[in-house]
Amino acid sequence: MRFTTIILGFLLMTVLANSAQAQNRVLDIEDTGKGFWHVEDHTLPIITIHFAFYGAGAVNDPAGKTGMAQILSNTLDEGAGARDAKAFQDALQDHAIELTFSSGRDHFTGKLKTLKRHAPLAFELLHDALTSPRFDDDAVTRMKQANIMRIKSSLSKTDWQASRLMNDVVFGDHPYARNSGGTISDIGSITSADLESYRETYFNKARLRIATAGDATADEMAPIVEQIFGDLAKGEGGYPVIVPVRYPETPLKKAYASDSPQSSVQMVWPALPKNDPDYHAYRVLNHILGAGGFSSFLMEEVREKQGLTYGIYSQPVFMDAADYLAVESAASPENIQAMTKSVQDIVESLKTTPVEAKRLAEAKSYLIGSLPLRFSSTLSLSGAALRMQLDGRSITSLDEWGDQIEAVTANDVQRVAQRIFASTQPIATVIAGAVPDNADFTTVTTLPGVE
Amino acid sequence: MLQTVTAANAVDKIYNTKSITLPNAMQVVVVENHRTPAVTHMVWYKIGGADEVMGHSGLAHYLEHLMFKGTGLVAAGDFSKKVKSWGGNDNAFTSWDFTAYFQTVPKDKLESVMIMESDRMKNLSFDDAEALIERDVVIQERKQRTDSNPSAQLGEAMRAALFVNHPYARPIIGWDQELQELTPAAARDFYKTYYAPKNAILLVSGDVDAKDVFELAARTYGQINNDGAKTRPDWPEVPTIYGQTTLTHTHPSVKQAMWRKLYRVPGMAKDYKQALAFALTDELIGGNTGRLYQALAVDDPIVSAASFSYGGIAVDDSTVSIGVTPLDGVTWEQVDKAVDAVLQDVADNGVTSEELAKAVARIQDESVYERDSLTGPAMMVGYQLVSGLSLEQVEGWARDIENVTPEDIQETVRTYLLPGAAGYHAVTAHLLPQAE
Repeated sequence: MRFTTIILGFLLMTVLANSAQAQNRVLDIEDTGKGFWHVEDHTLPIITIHFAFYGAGAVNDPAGKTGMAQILSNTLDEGAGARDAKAFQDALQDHAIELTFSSGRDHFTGKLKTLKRHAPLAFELLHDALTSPRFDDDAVTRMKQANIMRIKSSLSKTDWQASRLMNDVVFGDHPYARNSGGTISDIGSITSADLESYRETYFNKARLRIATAGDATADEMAPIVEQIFGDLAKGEGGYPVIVPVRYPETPLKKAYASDSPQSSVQMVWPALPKNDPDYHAYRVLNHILGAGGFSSFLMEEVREKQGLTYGIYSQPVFMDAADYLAVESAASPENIQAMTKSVQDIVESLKTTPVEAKRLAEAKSYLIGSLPLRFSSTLSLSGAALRMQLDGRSITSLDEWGDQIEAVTANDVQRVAQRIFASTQPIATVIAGAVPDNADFTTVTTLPGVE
Repeated sequence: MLQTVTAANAVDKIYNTKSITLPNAMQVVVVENHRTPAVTHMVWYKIGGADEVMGHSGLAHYLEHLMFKGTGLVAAGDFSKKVKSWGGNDNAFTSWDFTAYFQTVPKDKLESVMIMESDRMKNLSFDDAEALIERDVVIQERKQRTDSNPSAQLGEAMRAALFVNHPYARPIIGWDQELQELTPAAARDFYKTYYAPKNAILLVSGDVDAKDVFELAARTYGQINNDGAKTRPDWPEVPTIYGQTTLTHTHPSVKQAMWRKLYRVPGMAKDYKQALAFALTDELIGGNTGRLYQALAVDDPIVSAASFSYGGIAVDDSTVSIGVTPLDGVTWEQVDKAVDAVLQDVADNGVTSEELAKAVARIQDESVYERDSLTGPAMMVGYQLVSGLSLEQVEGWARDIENVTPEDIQETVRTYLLPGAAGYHAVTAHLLPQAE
């Protein structure tokens, strides 16, 4: 009986409590004025560093050498300074130092996590990897082979197939259309000299952004940051900005047939950049459409009501030269038509009907309440602080998030839906895997960006 | 500059958990972590895919899906919606040994999720029509996870061959034809038979005071009785299987050949001491600085990738899994020989105490990272407890590995990993492209 009473009491409580904590800062970021942002946090004896070379990502891969930034990210920790690959990897491994480099389309980034007791060694290793990587022939060959085999292994995955096709369809002749992971023949042609030249061109202070976090003060971190990054070349500001993507003029539908009982499906609509005045309304719209898990329209309609798929999601993508909204799913071929129709019906209704008050309030409550939950590890602190620098945000921008989301109205959401879904049909739809009968898709027989 | 602390590695307790057991036998464990004003709340049931009756494979996982279909007090689909509306996230997962449900929410919503989760421990009430649609969803899930992934298909076949006569041989998602025939009634029965406090463990990690959590647990889960709920059935043993098993899977969409080997070895709950030796064996042989990768990919390259991993955490037997990606032109026999040569070398010549000490230090250093997240501790502590480890073992294993000797490593490889050895049970598998 007691139990039932508790439940009833609970149901009478409002479920829309706003859990944002207005007084406290969401994240205590400090702009040190010395070229890096810092988040001091003494929860555990851990220090993390996130950094980026702005605009130094795979978009710069020379024609015929796609995968260059990717191979560079794999070889920086394969020997540097006096340490060969084995010695360098041992030094990381034996001291539980986690160092990762990665090449996005736009930016080249890296992150370091170390215990405070091994921090001096960790900083030395990062410094060496950035300033004196060895690119020994055997290590470069090994990483090239591993990447070629990664590509060949990925070829059996329908979602990877769909991504290759979508790149080609949506980006056309823009550099983004190239496979940032490289093609099999291009990777084969990359040399140690190529990697060194890429590093020299793009690793410099003008492009550098740094965020640190963990068990140290900003004053303690300043000489460390100087020690790690101080030897990089100065570099020049005003590096070239890539031209914006020009999307297809009419909606395209393409299919790649492969042996699978399902099709991976991807749909893309051109959408808004992060600096658009409607940015916050766009985030709310995206949550309601397909980012809110079981509370999203896509999951409710396509999975819960019709059982057509295991999962369907929407995701806004923001890049320097393209901003779009993607919807992804996978389903049996006989379900594909019903699914794509449902998706279009949903976006149509978002254009024509203002979203109901309860749904809007719940979406806003999620977007506000979930913010602090993101910052539960040391890496998440420095990661967020780097992201904000890359996006050109201020150190206090997270504190404004709650009010900005709260201000979004049903009219705002509808206006954004009208802007993005001006054409209800996606500008590009691709499927890979089992191609349904009678599908009005143009069939592609060779996957672009692979061989 | 930084003050470098040079204290020894010694990790007394990894998580510093606080625990009580409610009068209805439900264990409650708390990991306090005050970095973010949030909590992860998890309920782990000591019931999973291995507890299904023959012919009902996939039932435990199907029930996991149906747990979101309402209780009479919380409408179908509303559980997740409420959690989302608080800024939180929730999900669930099923394995052979367990089924787990979790939510990460702002800390002031802990009581609400405890009320809702304890409610669905007792009062699940779903509609048959909705349950049948959900079965379609699970069928699509199988197609997505397994049937459209040749490597997953092979993994399924390898377990079936390795765990003959044991329920670990069944895929958690269920065999296709059995999955199609699962009924809402069978799921209801399974729920009534097993979902009860005595089969559950509560884990809460985050910005809480353990005392408050214990009190809330008593007011929510503590009010539920076990009625006639049963504990899991006894599982049959794997008999001696004669002959060597090698599986070959060709698939038109495979473009890259792969070599894999799966060994059945003792799990952590059944043989804790042996499991610690396996964990260190993994540390020395696996990874990119370990002996396997160094021998096969670096010294005399015949592969581009090599992995060795010990699963460890399991109620019954666990596995060691080796996988390599051979370079073009390398034969299966070459790979067999090269892998066995690495193991034979450890069996014959052992490892040095210096290597071992470094591996111990590394694991102990990494154990500090275990607490560097909100959800991680609830996941790891719950996973180990539900698999039959004691709280003392969960807290102390990073210290206990100091007792493993170089001889233990040598003996482990000799006993379990060399063909013909007393404890050698293995399946080798080849994934390869279809001939043109």
